[in-house]
Amino acid sequence: MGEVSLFIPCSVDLLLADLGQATVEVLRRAGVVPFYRPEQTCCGHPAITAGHVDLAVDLAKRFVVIFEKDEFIVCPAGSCVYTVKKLYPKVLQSEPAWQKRAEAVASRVYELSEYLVDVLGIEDLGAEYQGKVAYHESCSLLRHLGIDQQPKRLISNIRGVELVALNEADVCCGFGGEFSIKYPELSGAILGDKVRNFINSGADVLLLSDPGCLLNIAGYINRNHPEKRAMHLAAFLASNLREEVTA
Amino acid sequence: MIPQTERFREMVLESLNNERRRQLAGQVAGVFRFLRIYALQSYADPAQVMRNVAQSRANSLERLPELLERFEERATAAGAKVYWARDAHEANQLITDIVTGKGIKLAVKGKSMVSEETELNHALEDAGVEVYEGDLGEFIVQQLGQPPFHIVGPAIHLTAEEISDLFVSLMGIEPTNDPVALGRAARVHLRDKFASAGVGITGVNVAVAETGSICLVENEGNIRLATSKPRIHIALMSIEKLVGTVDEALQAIGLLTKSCTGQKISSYVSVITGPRKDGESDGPDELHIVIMDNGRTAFYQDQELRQALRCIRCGACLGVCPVYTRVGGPTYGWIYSGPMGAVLNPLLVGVNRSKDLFESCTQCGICQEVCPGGIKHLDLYNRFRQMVIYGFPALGVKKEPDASAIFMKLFTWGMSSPWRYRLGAAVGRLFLKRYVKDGSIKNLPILKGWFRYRDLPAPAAHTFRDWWASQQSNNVNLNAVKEGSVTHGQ
Repeated sequence: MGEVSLFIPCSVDLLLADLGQATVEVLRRAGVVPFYRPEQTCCGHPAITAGHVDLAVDLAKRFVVIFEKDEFIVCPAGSCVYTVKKLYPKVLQSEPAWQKRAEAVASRVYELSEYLVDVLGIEDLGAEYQGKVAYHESCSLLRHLGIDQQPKRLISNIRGVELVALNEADVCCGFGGEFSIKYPELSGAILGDKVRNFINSGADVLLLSDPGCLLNIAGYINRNHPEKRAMHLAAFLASNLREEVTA
Repeated sequence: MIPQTERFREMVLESLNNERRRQLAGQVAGVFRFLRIYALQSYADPAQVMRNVAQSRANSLERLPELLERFEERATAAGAKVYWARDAHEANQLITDIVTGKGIKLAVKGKSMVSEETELNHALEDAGVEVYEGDLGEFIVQQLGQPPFHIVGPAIHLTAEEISDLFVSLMGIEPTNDPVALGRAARVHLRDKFASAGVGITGVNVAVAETGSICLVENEGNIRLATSKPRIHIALMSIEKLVGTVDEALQAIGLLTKSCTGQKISSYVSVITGPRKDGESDGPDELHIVIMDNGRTAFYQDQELRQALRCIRCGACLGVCPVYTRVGGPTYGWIYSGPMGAVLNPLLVGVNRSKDLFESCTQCGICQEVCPGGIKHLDLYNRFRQMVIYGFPALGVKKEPDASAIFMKLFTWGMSSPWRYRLGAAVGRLFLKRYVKDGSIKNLPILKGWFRYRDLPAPAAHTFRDWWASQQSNNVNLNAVKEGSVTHGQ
């Protein structure tokens, strides 16, 4: 049986442990054995995007050292995968030896839905849900990693589910990390439009694949539309898995 | 237009509170966004064309000094006079000298961003020259003394009523809300100016080194008229407009119009090589081309910053940017707005004073996806952020005290060892748990901006790592435990 190394973002570890557990559950259902390296902390994304690239050098090296020996490294967060794959080579550009090691590790890092669909070839995890869902295309997946079909395949293979169209599904939700705190009015305006589109879609649940978008959108829904839900795809799948049918 | 990029934050609030402007910004962008996608489908392989143009932009910039010399040589051979201007002041001076030297009192203009950059109209008016914008939208905002609302729709924020009021007082027409009648009134009014103007002044969309030609793209015919009716044509261009060959120019223009207005090609494309020659039926007697630097060579030397000069001013990035589409053009405080402005204004106006333009980015990356120049906006924004954090004397960027620096230092320090991480996590989670109410956190003494619009979830009962550890001790056989393979070291 294959083994995968869990790359659990700090936001998930500290706030959203359920999402980490759901990731484990989904991977086990897919027939692989996840393991977790407790030395991992944060990939450094907030520091890098704020321009404090030098402060992230040690974090990037730590990541390389911790995960270097693992064959498959799987993460339920598009933005953290993006950090390792696209930002680390820049963070480490003045140290070519480290940069090379980082690129080698990065080639084995996968976003969860990408790993399930592209690596394992699994599109049906055996979940069932009677109702309407919509899917928000997180920028980190869609644009930074080019992952668009994989999450939608996993959703459309949920028995009983209706995946409804979401207007402006590929437009940013207004999170942007520090942006949401530094420019609250702008972030709020963008977020308000995102949620309005979700409400108008008629879906009960908005699915997405990045903890950043999740905190942002779910936080707004919790305050303004408590009858609706935003969920990470992994959490949604895990909570709707049918009883195991195989022996 | 005097730069006010430092007012971005307050202008954002003004724009967001102006319901009509906010809706308009979104609607205009939505239309252009849709039209662009539709027009691009006329290419067999749109992605390949975008790669070609981006490559051409990169190559042209690489060879810029050589292309500029070649252009001067070819344009001069074709009969044009070429001038070099170090900055906006020199460019304006050169142009007003040509105009006043000929005793010209009336000038017509084609819509040109670079002339907005230099505030050419003011310079000409100060020299006693009457200037009329020939583009309808540009003419309207000029008469109202307003900045253009959108790069290709300068007056798109105005209603027919507002334009009627203006035309009634300006031309003495009967009030009307019929756009066709208003267009006709402007045409009649301006036709007379075109007929009597001594000079036509335009910008340049693309300049071709191998032929010494300048190319101009428009829809209303005012540029065609400004470059053929008056006896003198003056074209003002910034240095980065050069490409090597006619083929490259045509490919760039094809992508420009599709990216800009969603047209397969604009109604008019003028390719001008020198003034009217013997035996030719139209064109001016004199063609003067002013090539302006205005701060560009200062960052040209820097390979990463140089990419800002790949911009072809199509405005595709405006139509898709989640920030621009909420606030519109004038919010950005200078002629270049949206992601285009966030890339150009720091370099042309100053990084420190334009800080909010590049910091107010959600990092969604959609601007990069549509950019015909292949600009990597996020890389540039990050570079600008670094300049502000560390200072960058080469471009006069001052190091600024950064409130988040201490936080980031503490954060990265805490994250760089497991025990510090655990300690920070325990303290942070205890802190958060004190504020949990009905299953979520509605407010905190910190992160005020966040809580203005949304809640935070209550932290889960345990961290993921604690849950994992407890699982492991409950049933070590279930999972493969990798041990001893990693120790932290560098």
